[in-house]
Amino acid sequence: MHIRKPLPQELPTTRSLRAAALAAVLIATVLTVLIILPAERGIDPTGVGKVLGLTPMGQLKTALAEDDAPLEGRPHQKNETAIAVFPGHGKEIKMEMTKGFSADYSWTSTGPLYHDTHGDVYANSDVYLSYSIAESVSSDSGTITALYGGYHGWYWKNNTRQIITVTLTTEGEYHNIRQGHH
Amino acid sequence: MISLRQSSHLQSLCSLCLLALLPATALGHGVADGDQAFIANSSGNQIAIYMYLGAKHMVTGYDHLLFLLGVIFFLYRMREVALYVSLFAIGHSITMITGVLWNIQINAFLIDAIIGFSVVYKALDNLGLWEKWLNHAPDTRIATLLFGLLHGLGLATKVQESGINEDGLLINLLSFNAGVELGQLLALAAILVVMGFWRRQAGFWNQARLANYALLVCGFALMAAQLFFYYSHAVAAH
Repeated sequence: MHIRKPLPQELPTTRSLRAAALAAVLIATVLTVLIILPAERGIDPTGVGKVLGLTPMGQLKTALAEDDAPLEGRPHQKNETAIAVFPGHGKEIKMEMTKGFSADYSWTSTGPLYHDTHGDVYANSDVYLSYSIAESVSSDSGTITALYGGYHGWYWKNNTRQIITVTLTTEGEYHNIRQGHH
Repeated sequence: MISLRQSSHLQSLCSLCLLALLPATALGHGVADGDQAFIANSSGNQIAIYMYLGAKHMVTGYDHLLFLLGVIFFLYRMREVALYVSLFAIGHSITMITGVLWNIQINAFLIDAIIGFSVVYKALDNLGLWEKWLNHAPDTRIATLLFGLLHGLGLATKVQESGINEDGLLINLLSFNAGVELGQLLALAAILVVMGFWRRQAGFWNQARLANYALLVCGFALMAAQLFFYYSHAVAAH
């Protein structure tokens, strides 16, 4: 390409460049607080990140990256839990697990259920990753290995007209197992 | 016509965001792991999320930025900057959107190697070496559009690898593209402010030569690294 040396008066003045740099720093600061911190760290001092839907992404990323362990120890336990899911309703059972904990499970139900087996992060119970989802089944088994600290387990939804009973057995590393932790 | 003083205010309005973004991001140049997990788990229209990811991809994509730096290295008039940046943006928008909608997927390493080559091309162009070697430099406008098209294929491949959901695909894709343009403007503003200060220094013209040789080396390094990854993956696949 042909390059012509510009005359000094053609270039932006130092003064306007300084003003530009200052404006840039201000805007960078504003963007960091409003957008980047919520989207990367789940830190949302202004609430803008929540309105835009960026904060959950930051909360998930933080949970995946950090060893967020409010509970100590690595307990090994075994439980059997039974619950009734009413027609048109949903129920949840969750194990509180530290990142890296692993537990085997198996459940059977007296009728077909929708299930979403997932883990909620500590920071926000609406932020989760699913391990498996199925539309209409009456049993499932497998192993949950916690990708992050939080509440890991099952959501069942009864789309039939009958009450359905679920019997769940769990064995592995978890701090506690509870119903309806959402 | 915008006067120079006003236009430099405009350029920089957003500027140093580039610098602010850098510490928050890793050097890897796919869509980051946590972002990917979040995308894979969600569906429907997510305008803000995809705009953010598009902007992040551009602002943290050192290969796109090096090319952009090469393109505007000797441009100081807003009209010229706008022309070249628009050519690049039109190019990558076309191939990114059609690439994803038509499921065109090119090997990510090969396309990244071509992006590396675009940096090599522009550095040679800035050094005046095409003219010296071929007696005739390729038209930079056509080259910028062409490399825009190729950068867009790279973006399309990255978007498809990110596990974007069919549900809300078009809206999310357009949001990603809008984010890419926004990110590009932010990065460009930062680059222009720094270049603006530099251009006023007495030593600029000597340093510019060195800087473009450095750009050339970076371009070759990107090409070499991507071709090596391509080769080692091809070997591993056998």
